[in-house]
Amino acid sequence: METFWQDVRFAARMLAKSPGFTAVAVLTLALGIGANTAIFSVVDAILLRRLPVDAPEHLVVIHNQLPKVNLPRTEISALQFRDYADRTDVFESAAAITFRNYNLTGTDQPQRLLGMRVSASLFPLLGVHPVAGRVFTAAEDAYGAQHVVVLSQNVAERMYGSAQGSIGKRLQLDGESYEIVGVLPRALEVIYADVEFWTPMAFTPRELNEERRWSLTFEMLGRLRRGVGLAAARATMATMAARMNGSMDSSMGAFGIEVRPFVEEHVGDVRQPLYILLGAVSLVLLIACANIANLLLARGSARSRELAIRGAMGAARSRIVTQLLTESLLLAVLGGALGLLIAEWGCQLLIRMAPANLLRTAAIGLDPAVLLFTLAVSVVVGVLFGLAPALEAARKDLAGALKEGGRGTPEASGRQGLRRALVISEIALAIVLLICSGLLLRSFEKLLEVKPGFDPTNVLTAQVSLPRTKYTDEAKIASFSDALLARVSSLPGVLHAAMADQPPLTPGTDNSVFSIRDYHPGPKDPQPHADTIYTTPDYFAAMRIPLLQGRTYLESEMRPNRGPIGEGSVVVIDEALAKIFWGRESALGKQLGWGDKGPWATIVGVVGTVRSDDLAEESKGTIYFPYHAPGMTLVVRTGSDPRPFVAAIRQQVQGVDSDQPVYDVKTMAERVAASVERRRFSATLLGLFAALAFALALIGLHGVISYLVAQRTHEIGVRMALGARPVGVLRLVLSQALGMAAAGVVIGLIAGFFAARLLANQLYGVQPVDPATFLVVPTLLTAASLAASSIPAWRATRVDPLVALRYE
Amino acid sequence: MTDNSTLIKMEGVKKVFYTDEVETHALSEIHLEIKKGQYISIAGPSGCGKSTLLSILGLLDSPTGGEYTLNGQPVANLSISERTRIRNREIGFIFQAFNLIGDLTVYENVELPLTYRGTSAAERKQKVQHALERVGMAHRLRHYPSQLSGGQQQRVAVARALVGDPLILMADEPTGNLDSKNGEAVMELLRDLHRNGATVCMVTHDQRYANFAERTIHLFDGRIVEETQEARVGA
Ligand SMILES: Nc1ncnc2c1ncn2[C@@H]1O[C@H](COP(=O)(O)OP(=O)(O)OP(=O)(O)O)[C@@H](O)[C@H]1O
Ligand SMILES: [Mg+2]
Repeated sequence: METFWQDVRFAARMLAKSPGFTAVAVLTLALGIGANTAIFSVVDAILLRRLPVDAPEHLVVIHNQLPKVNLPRTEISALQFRDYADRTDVFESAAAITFRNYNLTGTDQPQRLLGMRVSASLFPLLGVHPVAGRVFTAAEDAYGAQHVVVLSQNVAERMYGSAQGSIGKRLQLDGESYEIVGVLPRALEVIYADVEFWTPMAFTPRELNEERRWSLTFEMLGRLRRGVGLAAARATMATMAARMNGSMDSSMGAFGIEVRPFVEEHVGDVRQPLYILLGAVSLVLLIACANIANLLLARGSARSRELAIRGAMGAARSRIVTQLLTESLLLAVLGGALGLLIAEWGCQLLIRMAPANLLRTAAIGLDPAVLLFTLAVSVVVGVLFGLAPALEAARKDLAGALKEGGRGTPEASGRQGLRRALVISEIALAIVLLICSGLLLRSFEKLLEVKPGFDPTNVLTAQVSLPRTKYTDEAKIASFSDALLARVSSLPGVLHAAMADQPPLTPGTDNSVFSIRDYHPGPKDPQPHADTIYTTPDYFAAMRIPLLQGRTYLESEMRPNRGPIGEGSVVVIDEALAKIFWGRESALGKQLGWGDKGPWATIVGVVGTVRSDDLAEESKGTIYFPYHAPGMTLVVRTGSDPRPFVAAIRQQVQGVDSDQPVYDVKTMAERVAASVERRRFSATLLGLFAALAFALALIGLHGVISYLVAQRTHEIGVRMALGARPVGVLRLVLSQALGMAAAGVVIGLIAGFFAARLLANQLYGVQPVDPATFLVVPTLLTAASLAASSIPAWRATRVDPLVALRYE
Repeated sequence: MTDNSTLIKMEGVKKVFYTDEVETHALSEIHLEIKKGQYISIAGPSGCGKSTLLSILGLLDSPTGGEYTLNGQPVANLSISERTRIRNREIGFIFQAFNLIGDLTVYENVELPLTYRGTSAAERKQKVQHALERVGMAHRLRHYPSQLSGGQQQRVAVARALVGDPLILMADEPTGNLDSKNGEAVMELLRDLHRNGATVCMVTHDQRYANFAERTIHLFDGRIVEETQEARVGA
């Protein structure tokens, strides 16, 4: 212990003695460790931290699988929920949930609140306890008895000042009165971000009607019975699915029930991008380590005499290694401490940069787990960059090093080899990162070039959801819609106004199975299925979706009262659907319906295909119906920037129904930008790390070349005294640099080839082995390597033979 | 006060350096016996192998042939850590170039051999103090080597060599970088140590200082060519 403190004191003195070296090393480390800590704190918050529920490893989410109609994972129906939840041999308890928004009235301004309908069993199942009041009783989870509500802590505090203060108050939701019985803890945000309140599920008789067995709108959560593993649960549910298959309409194809771990459901789709980032940032740290190892090697040779004296005095080799490692550990810990500051700041930056729903709600910060991680990384890093130089320094020929004049002799070739190897691996790692980020950036660029099939400029969208309690039939919805569209269209500057239930890039999708008249799919063919959108006639003009054949529908063809399909009704389909079923034949005049027996709607037009979920995803077919749905999005095309129209449009909605809130108001351009935000985020971060890696590798190369030049100053002086020309000296130095760069580039390209494959499913529009990327990156790095080493090379040509020789 | 047991025995010791296909025979056929408590000096022209012989004697280097027995133990059989231990406990070094560590104070430099042997802090303090008093440097504990004159540095190096009470002192031209007054002071210290029972091996060019020794070994081209025994009449 005492020797430890002695070593620490000496190490501190050594670091203080060369402030330049110490500053460079600590800063490099701080950047590396800081970036790692920041990314790790995200990974920790999102992937590693336990969700705020009891034993999340026993929680599962149940989905239906209908792969044949392109629904690999869907919700389930109320009746199915009852059947599945009955399997008490698998589930200890089960809960159904579904998102449901309500209009809150009776406050100053009507508001749209994001809510959920949940089974009373949900909270005990999760193990979540209210911070005030209580959760629902089983009795309240019954049709007619459901007028109670539980608030989120945020909403309770916003509306009533405190959680306790809200208990017993009443709320007008969709025109009905609900009593506030409890408030749930803020921690629940991690799972149900932004949900403001919960009401009992209380399945309606309509939802439990046998006809709605395939109305797939609920999510099921289950807690596995003790002793029932995931595999066993999957087997049981698979048997159940097989039995259902036997009794099912075979046109839907093979049916399956998926048992998916809850944790997977919540973090599954961000896991890979996060691990890619974590991998990238650890490569940056590796490069930083290699740089510092190189600096230490240079110092090691300057200190060989000190170490030899210690050896002569009887310091064991292990003792010398320990002493040197203490120095590198001290460096690493200093770097780690500064890295924490950088990480703290980096986390803030990440949260600000991240797409809306990715990081905001997770509790990202420097908690004990993160601090432990940073400490561990610092220690590992300290050993990593310190060990090779320490071993190298301890492997000394004592008698030789003690001789005077040992200074200035060229260093052992083994050590030079190590230094070269370090720089070569730095360059190789930088190449790998540059290739990966290049591929992601190219994907992103390709994505931005994608034509979405509509014109997003100067379009404003806003959601208007009419409560069923007030708008009890389709005629009432239609008259609201007509009145609103009439008012909005007459605003000066508005070119077109329309309603649609699911315009592109708005949340949710509506995918339906349908039939085509006189078309009978064989047993292997998929049952026709398509996205369905209900719109008013002006929608195509408002979105500038081009008409390719026939016509769009007319105002007189709107079906205000009798469902989207009926006798004499018409539809418009997109080109993708027309191609699938009619190929080169015209789809005009063909008829489609919900079932084989009609009624049928006639196709009157074919419009261009629109990318509706994600710019990276081609539409698999869309049907447009001239129909109103209660949940509507107002789509307004204006002659100029649409943002100034927001207030006027809100006013028009209030003019039609003063209780009706407008929400999720965004320009279409904003929606397009938001849809690529996650990719932008990954690509930007990876680009940042690659740039950092690039800079570090060049600094490393520059350092080594400078060192070699300094080492050979005498030799170069002699050469110049004997008549060598500067060009020759330049060539001598640059060829060394180029040799290292070339080796690094080759290794990096091979490694990059494999790294790119890991990235393949994150790419869009580029091949993993993208020729442009694989050409530009090595060229760039080679050129930059030449530039970085030309400074020391130039210095070498300026060596004054007289001065160099005088050092002899 | 010399007893007659043999401390160092070399039989046919060779040292060959191999560098870029050139073989340098630095030492050949060295036969040498040194008894406990003897004071010997090694003399000879530059490049004859004096430093090489001293490095091997002090376990800083290994012979490429022959047998070297130290204190009854064949050195070739010693592990690296045993050699380190012996260097630390039994041998003290004084170099022509002082070889103090510039980043350590006078006190810490002298303390160095003791720290590698795990002596307690209190005992270290007392021994370092004592060693520095013997060389007359006790007033410069907190100085760094660069703040001392050459003679003072060498006195500190001597203190470092004797602080651990070594059995053998190896000195490679200890006066080489000193003026005659400082040189004599260092020689006086060595003689003191010898009187207290230490075995001393010293390389020197200077005939005056060689006369301090009981025996002088003359090397030429890597071989012992002559040995003179001093009639001990004093300097
Ligand atoms: N590490 C080494 N590699 C190769 N040859 C060496 C090495 N060390 C010493 N020699 C050679 O061995 C011979 C003896 O060297 P040594 O240093 O022992 O001489 P010396 O007697 O101490 O000379 P001086 O009086 O000049 O110090 C010389 O010819 C020298 O060139
Ligand atoms: Mg010599």
